[in-house]
Amino acid sequence: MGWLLAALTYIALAAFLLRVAWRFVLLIRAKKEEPGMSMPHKGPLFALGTVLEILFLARLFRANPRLWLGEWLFHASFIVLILWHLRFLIEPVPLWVWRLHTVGKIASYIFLFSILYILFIRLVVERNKYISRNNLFLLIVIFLIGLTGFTIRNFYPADLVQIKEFVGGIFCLTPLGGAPRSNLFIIHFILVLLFFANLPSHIFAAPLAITEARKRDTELRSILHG
Amino acid sequence: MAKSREKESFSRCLSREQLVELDACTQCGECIKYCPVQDVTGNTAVSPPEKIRMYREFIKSTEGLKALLLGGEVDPKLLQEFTKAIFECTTCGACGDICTVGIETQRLWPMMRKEMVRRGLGPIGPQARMPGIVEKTGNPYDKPAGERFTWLPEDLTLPERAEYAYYAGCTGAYEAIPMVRGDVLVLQAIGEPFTMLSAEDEVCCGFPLFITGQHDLLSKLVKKLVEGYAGKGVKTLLCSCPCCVNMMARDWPLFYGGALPFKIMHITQFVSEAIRKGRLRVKKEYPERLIYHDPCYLSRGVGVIEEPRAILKSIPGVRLLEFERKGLKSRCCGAGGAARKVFHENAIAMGRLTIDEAWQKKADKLILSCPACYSKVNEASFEYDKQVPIVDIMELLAGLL
Repeated sequence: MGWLLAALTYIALAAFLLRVAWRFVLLIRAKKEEPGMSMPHKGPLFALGTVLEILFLARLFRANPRLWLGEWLFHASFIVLILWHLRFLIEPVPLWVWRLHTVGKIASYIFLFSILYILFIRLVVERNKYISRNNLFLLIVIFLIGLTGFTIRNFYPADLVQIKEFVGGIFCLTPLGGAPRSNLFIIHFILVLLFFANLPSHIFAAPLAITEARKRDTELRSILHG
Repeated sequence: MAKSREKESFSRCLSREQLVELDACTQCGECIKYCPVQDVTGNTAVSPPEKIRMYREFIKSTEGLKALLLGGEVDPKLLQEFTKAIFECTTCGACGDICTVGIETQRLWPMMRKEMVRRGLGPIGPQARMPGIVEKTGNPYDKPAGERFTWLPEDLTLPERAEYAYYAGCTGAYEAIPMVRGDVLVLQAIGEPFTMLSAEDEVCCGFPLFITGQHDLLSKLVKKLVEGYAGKGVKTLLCSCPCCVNMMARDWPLFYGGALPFKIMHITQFVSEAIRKGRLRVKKEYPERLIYHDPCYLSRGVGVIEEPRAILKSIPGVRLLEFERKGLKSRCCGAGGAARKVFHENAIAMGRLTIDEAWQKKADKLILSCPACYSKVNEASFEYDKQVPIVDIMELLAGLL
């Protein structure tokens, strides 16, 4: 089982890296947009504003504050949980990762509730009940990742030493033959790989698009008023 | 092999930034609430996020890694669905304004149309005849150039050369005559000398061809116009059509091959400035409730939002009402994107939504500032039970001078 999981991990990683690299090649090959007009240079305050806009999903807030609440909590708790998981990957575990203990525990609750909240808003509350098949699939996968992780942590603890050896072995390219003796962990791990294989492209592209949009917003009045 | 891949490529007409935008779409669906086509069709299968999803599929199945290694094929049914959806769109850009990751859809959809044209799948219906008609007559309405300026006031004298020039545009000159006549009367009242090209030389600005993805003629048209105005010593080109203004300010430099030798101004900018400087004053009382509709290509396209309102507010007695969706968020009246001639019923239904709101707000007049809106909303008003008189902003102003 250990070998199989290790092989699946390497396949998922390789597929992801190849996908990203190929996407990068396609973008490099594409022509750069030619602006019809020359626009003024943007200062550091603009850059700061852009970073804040990305971090706080400001455009989503302007479009739908109700959905924003769920989405922001989901993304923030997801990042906290990923950072908290570094304790399984890094040895020795840095102090700042240990310090995430309480925040991480709170984030694990918020994570699950925020996904349910997003689904509730999208499928029950909204007049327009649009959700793409891919988004629904990803939300279900992410929810199951959260649920299995939460169950392992709170109800059926897995052997942390085994998990750490197993994950460490995979990432140091010295995979162990065996897998941790926890079915829940194996399900959790496979779901993570499934999510990784289907990682939405907007994770990388949205910040770039938002930056361009912010430039355009500030330049709109210069088109005829400059 | 390289050539056939080039033909297969769906990313050829898109810029790098637009490819990033395709990847950036989170499929959140917020834009669907603002799509005028959705308002009247309710078919989410042709909504903005679905169009992006389909286009991603095309790129994936022709240029994706799997397609590259194992070969891939585009689903012809999906391609057919997409073509209809992309040409049914009014390109109003409301989806882009609300987009949670800021995709500039008002520019993205026309480039996707260009790709469909390159593949011989678009444009649809009468749009396809446009390049030939524009080449033959200089306008997309197949009207003789000799009829272009029949509405000009008889007492108008145009200098050969002037700092200002006025471009009437095809839709105004042939389909919204009260509007362009109003423009000229107001310009006359301001007293600033302006020139115009001859009826033969004032050809289409290129917008209808650009927006339907048919770009072959554009450089020729743009160069003819730019050189014509430059030859008359023009420093500022005035125009009342938002689509033309958009094309001139954003795309003429690209098709001309450099910066324009004059600046572009929408007529409401020029007139509101004249009012502010006291060069034009409306003395007549006009105690009416007016509701102003922001044309998509004027507000979202070039950011002209306050000037039309400043003009209306300068009229004594006017009470200015606003639509629920105004400024950058305005709702398309149905005339945009050259879709109105093909998807006529959609356009009429959208136009009636605009009329409905003006009627509900008990407006005495619905004020427009775009010839395409003027033409289509008037058509939507025909035999409709809710009636609100439709007036162009310059037509109104000219009548009060």
